[in-house]
Amino acid sequence: MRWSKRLFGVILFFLLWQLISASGLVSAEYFPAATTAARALLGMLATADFWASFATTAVRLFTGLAIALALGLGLALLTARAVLFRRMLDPLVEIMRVLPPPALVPIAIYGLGLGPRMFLFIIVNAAIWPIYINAANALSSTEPMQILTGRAYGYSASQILWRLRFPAALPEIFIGIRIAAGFALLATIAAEMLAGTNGLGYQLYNAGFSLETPQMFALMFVIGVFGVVIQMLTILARRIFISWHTTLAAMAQPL
Amino acid sequence: MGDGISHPDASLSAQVGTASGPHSGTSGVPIPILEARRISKSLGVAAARIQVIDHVSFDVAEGEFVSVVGPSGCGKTTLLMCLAGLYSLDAGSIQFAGHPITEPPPGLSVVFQDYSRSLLPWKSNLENVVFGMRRLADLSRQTKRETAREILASVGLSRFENHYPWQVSGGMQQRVAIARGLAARSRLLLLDEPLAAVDAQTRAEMQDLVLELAQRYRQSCLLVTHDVDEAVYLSDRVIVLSQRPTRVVEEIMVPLAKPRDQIATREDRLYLDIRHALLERIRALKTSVPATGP
Ligand SMILES: Nc1ncnc2c1ncn2[C@@H]1O[C@H](COP(=O)(O)OP(=O)(O)O)[C@@H](O)[C@H]1O
Ligand SMILES: [Mg+2]
Repeated sequence: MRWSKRLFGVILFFLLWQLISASGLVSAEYFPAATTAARALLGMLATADFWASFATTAVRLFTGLAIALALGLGLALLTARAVLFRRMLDPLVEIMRVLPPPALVPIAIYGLGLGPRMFLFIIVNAAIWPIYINAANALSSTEPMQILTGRAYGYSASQILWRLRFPAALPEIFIGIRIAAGFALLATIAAEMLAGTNGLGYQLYNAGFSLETPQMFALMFVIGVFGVVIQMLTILARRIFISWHTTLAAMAQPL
Repeated sequence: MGDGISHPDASLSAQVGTASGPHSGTSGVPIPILEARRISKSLGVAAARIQVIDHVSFDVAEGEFVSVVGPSGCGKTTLLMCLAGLYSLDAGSIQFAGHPITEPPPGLSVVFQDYSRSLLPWKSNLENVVFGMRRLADLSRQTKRETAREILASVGLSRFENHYPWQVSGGMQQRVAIARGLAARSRLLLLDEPLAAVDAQTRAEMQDLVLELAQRYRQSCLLVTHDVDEAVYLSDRVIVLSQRPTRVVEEIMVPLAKPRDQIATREDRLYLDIRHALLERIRALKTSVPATGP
């Protein structure tokens, strides 16, 4: 039911696209027909070049996301034990998190060159803050009764952090991860477009500015689908790690 | 439930009901496991700060079952939090097993009034009970799980050990919380209105279970309850608290024979007299202004 409705919307969109381009209202050069773009996509999927680009982008994105996850969680756990540190860090975080990822590209190139470290810097910086902010907030707002329970039954402060505050924060941490995954894709593509010599973002930039519009649309489609797949992966990870919360949330929803 | 419960410590029943109370020391004076001396406590910040506890003193003897009754909002939960070492005191001192309490001491466990929020939603009922056995360090994880299983069975929750707390009713959650408190096998068990959400039939069974386990493991118990019948039925002594700021207005001994029986004890002349005296005392409290200092 839900799936068929969603599919219906997508089909409608492509039909509309095809109709507009067939009507001759827009230039076919800038705005190719859906069928032309689809043919370009199929052709592209058959080339090794495309898959190499895809692999490059995917590796950058997932490496960056993994580093952001480790650093963001580590930082949040640190601030959970040292409130003073958090007070000092949070104003900096406020500035860093609102900086758009492309704004960092020039300085990252000066500092780190055009190599993989530059990409990682851009991606990690985009993805770390939603993870850190969600985790730090959740770790500092544990249900007080749960902490009293931990203390009453003999758990030390660090045991309470690991065995109570951390598991209690997991649902919100996964929300942070989901946001971070979206930011990571954005940052990866933006950095590749601005400073890449390979990867999907670079290919998109090239196709766009050499007027290979069918390829451009095909790449946009691929990046979009990739984004959806990443979101689904974060949801899957959430289901695996905190199945209890998925059930609880489902129960809380009205029928 | 309740079947198969034996009374290995039948000799204990001969002791209780005597004037000196249970588990007397060699001198005949009960050995206190808990001593609260003129403790005071305020809660809230700045202008909203209110004094909740006002110079409260009492003892709990080793092996004794003491109930605390008092009007709702008078500070019973606050008192229990202080006794558990979870709240700091403004004045006075608390000794547990001869040592001053500054943090939650080993050998003491708490069943919180807010049972629902004190259960961990990411742990099954069984794991929640195991969580309370942290201080039983010499037990293997396997043994802890087996013990937790037995205790959940004794509170009638065998079929729900793998459910999450939020998947069972409030009454069942409360029984999980009690099971967690019992599983810790502490010397002193603090119970804060532990049966408020439990239905009447189960409540009677749970009362007998708590009594029976307390006696079997020689636990002392301090029970907060608003139910005067429950206080008299379970206790060796009942402490009556005043309105906030709360003070001790009365201590009544309950020298009823043990083991107690839901039918016989509740028909006992002595039971009815004590119950009557308590109810009158509490009614008088409701109409009077809070007592002033000595
Ligand atoms: N954290 C708090 N801050 C301010 N007031 C509180 C706080 N906790 C409890 N109180 C107040 O203290 C009084 C005693 O509360 P409590 O100990 O829970 O009473 P009881 O358990 O006897 O019903 C109540 O009037 C309550 O509103
Ligand atoms: Mg209370």
